[in-house]
Amino acid sequence: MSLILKDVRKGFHQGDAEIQVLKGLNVTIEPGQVVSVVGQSGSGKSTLLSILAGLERADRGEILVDNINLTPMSEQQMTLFRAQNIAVVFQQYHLIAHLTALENVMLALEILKMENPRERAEEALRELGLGHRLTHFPSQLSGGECQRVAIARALVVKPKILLADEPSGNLDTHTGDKVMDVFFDIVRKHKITTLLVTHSEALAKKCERTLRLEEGQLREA
Amino acid sequence: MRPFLFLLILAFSSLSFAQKKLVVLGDSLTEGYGVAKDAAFPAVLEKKLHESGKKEWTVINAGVSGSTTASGVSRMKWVFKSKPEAVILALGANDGLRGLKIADSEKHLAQAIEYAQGQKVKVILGGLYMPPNYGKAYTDQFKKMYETLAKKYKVTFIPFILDKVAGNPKYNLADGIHPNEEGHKIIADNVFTALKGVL
Amino acid sequence: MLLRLACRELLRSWRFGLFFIFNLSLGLTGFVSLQAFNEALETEIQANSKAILSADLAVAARRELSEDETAKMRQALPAGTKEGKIYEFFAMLSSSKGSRLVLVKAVDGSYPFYGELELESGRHITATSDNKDILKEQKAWIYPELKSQLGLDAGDEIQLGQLKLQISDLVKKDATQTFRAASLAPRVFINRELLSQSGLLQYGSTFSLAHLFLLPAGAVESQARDSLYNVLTDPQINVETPATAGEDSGRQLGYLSDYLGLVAIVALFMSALGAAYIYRLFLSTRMKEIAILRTLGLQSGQAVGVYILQASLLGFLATVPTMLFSLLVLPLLSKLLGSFTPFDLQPTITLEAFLICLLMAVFGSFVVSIPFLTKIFDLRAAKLFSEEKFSAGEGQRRYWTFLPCLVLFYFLSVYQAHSWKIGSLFIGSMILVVLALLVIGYCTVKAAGLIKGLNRWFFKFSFLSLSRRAGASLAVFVALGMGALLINILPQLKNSLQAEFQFEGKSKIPSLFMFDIQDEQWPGIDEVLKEKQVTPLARSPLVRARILKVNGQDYERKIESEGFKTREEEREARFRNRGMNLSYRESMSDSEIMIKGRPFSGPFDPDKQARAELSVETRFADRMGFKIGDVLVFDVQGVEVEGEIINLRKVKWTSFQPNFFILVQDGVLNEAPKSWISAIPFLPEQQRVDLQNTLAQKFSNVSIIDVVRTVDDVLKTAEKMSWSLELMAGLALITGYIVLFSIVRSQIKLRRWELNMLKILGASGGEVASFILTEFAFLAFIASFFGAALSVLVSFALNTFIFESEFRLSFVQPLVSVVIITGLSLLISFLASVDIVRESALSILREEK
Repeated sequence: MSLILKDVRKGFHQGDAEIQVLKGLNVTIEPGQVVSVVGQSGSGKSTLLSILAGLERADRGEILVDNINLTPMSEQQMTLFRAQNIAVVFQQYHLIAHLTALENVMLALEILKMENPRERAEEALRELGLGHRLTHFPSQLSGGECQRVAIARALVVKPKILLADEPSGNLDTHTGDKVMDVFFDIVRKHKITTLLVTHSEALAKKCERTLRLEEGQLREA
Repeated sequence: MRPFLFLLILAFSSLSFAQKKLVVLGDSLTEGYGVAKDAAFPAVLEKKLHESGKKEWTVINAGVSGSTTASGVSRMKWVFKSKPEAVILALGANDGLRGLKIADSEKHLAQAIEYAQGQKVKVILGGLYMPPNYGKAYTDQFKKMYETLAKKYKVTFIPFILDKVAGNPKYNLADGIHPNEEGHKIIADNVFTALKGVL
Repeated sequence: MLLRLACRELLRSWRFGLFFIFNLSLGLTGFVSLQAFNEALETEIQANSKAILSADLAVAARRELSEDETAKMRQALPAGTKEGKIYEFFAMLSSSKGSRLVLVKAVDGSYPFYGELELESGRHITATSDNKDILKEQKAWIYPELKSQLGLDAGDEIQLGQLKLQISDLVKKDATQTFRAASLAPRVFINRELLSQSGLLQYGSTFSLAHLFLLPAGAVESQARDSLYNVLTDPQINVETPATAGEDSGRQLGYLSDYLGLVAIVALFMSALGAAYIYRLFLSTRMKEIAILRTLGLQSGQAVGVYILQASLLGFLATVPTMLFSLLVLPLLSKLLGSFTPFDLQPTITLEAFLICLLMAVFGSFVVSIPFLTKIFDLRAAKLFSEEKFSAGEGQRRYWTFLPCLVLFYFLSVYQAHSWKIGSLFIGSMILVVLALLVIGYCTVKAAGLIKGLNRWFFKFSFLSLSRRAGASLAVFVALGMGALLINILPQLKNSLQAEFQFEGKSKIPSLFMFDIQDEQWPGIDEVLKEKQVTPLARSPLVRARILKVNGQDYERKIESEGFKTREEEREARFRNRGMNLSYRESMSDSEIMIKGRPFSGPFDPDKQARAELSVETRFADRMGFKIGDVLVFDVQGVEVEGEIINLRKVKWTSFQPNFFILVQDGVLNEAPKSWISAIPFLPEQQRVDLQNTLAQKFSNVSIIDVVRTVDDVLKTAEKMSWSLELMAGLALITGYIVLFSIVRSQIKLRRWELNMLKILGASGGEVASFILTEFAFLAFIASFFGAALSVLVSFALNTFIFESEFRLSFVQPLVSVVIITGLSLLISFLASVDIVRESALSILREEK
């Protein structure tokens, strides 16, 4: 599924001043492409991610997913569209603490009313090497395991686009590498269009394409 | 037979073995308001009578706190069932304290005396003075009422049974009206002295 | 350093700080307002009893005090005490229109220190008013009864002993009149200086003398009373305080005061509940920071210090909006109330309320958080890296940590209620309630986890979330349950207490009392009544008797050779030796309520019964230590009668029916010498006077007392009390709901992150709302249901132990509160979820870093 940004702009009000974070982004990402977005802190990476995830609206410009324009969608349409097409993985995993690994993954499926949630969730976790950790709570899992559960949760709904925000940012290099290896394996296997926000050049290099967010503009690195 | 009456006759008759009875028909002064039954002047009087050799006498306390002279006759009718020899009529204080018409009190007392005399019961009239705060006019009239009655019916008369007691905080309860134990002893003395030669 | 750290931390999360301050101050505002009304009511009650005594303190005797005693008395009182002196005595008043017994009240310029006399000319006589013409001229004020009975009016001459006075005014309202003082004689107010001219007071006169005192500000009445008792050793001298002057209404005023005490504790508990809950949340959100601080090398103790400082700082800041809210809310509320209640209350924020508020806000934070703070010691910094939300539910349990909290609340409760008994009872029942709620809550939470077969994800995960987050759920459960309980206690008690103040229509309330009616006078009296078309309300026979023995023990107290040892001992002896009025009737009257035992079995049957059945008034039984089954021997004017107590009974205060300590079964005393008391229902004034005069003419010994004015006063007081109960119960309800509102709001705020996650996972706004609504509705419903149910038990217990009134169970009120609390939770959850759906999800998720 392709992802096209046309002159996307976003600003914030801070007191009386208006700060333009995104000053007209233009980019086209091909279906199945794994793209990284790098940039310094405060460069607007997370804002971009928010807008792409449909959690925030751009001030101007258009976002086309598979040639469907997200901009004029209502909140409700947006929610539905996002749920069926876009998944997000966070740096802080954001697992629900009182649900087991399996339940965390199942929840995503159940919200979308998908068939056989248990089987699919188990399968997804097994694919990420967590078959033996199904009934563990996040507090009983290591950071790497947690992030793998988070990834499983994101992928189990078979999104067309995956947005990842520093997925290895909270992990040590070794664990991070291992998690990311699995991550890349799976997105490639399922041909998921992926946008990986990171400040790690090493990680960026593992992607097919790297974009740099600088001064409110998105450029090919 | 109504149970109370039944009990009453039992009680009175148990006492009536060759005994002479003196009834004190009065109000709270007689009842001994605030002091124990044994400390009220009728009981003290009985003790005094016994000590002076008059062992045959029993003194019956028929005092009812708050009673006025209006209750005199009906109560006599009741208490005379025990066939007393004599009655000390010590009513009137409440009439006075409540400021009732003296003519009415006098009428009630006269009726009581007449009733007792008709029953051949000796009457001893216990007189009272009203405290000065009621005003001279009233207190004088009140005092005169007893004197008139005593003269008219020729009864043994104690002009002021609270003599030496009234007005003295030493012999009264905190309310300033009712005698305490010591006060009752003096009243018993007063009455005892007046009874000398009568019984 | 710690303070700087604390401030920096606070500034960093200022938004949470604001939220915390707002919610805490909501709860505290409720507390302060409730407290202010409480104080205002207490002041009103006190003013009422001070008006009756017309002073702070009175030294009363039936004789003049000696110079020595007077000097000692003055010395014992604090400097700055103002003094007045009044005499009261009966005297015959004479005039050209007739004579009558009156009660002379000889006063001086200081009278009355409290309260006021309202005269018919419209004058209001107070301590400082300059309109006391009786002090300047040869004048007198009279009670209006003298007008109706003798035809006396302003301008007429009267004579008291040798003293001739002119009537200058009639007394319309006399705040110094006690409830019982509808006495035999109408009052006449004269100048004390003129007494000597009357010649009425001399040796042998019966009068009562009262030295009235106005204590300087800050002096404590009871202390002054004790020091007076120390120097005035004669038991015939009494020192009276407003507390002892209330007489008949005293018990009810006592109830009201106890009730207000309870209100104060409930207010305290509610605000504490809110504060504790919000503190707990605050700390749980800060646990992660604490862990971070520890990794930075801070000692556990120091970390704890930072958070105590933070919480205290926030608590302190919360008192500012509290005071502002209160200052805004109170005048509005009192104005509103003034428009439809008989009150003119001036609730103000007392220093005391402010200090307790401050104590709760600043120090309370520390005490309430001790159980939580000790967990910091269990905190392993490593945990920081394993999970994004920090859970503090682990570590060993330290039960002692709840102790300081308990102790603090125990003392605060006792302090608030001004009573050890009520405070202890309350704390005791609260502990039981919390335990009960914990057990019920635990079962509920665990049961929620067992609910299966739900086809909608939000139902399924709602219940799963409930049972998995057992600690948090339990906390909400207990908080809501406690809230429901506290909300319901006061209205429940109100219903029962209000019954005390209710009266059955004017037709059953007497306007005249007649006593000393002789048996043989009834036919004549009945004839008069028939002629005037009046039906008497009740006829109670009155038989004088003494109690001789109780269960074989002597009842009367005999004086010992050295006299009575203490004033109390003497008073008790005099009370016991006083004899008593027995009465009998076939059944209990409407105004009597049997509270224990069985009713009379019918008329006395000498064949079947050895003893007469007795019914004893419950207060009297308490005072004398009588119980059901006790055998009493009476001396009924020379005859011994034996009886057994078969029931205890209570007499309704507002019924105004003659109250007898002991009622004897019908058929025992019927033949004994007796007099009668009767009451006449309400009649218009002219008819009343007419009847009174006719009866007085024909039956001079029958004393007739007009009680209309007294009854009116009592009913007004009763109405006020009833309103007070209503008011405080209402305020408690509102406060309670506000506290619960802030609790639910805070709790939901904690879930923001989770709800956002659901949104990102594709849940629609409706589903997110349903998820949180299900959870809170379920918890709120069950918690408030059990809380309300427990409130019935607790109010029953409080009612039984404190108020001894008949418990009136009302199901409506608790059920309504269950509906409201559930509804409120739903509303708040819904609003919160709407907010969250509107929020930028990502920014919240990022905030949680």
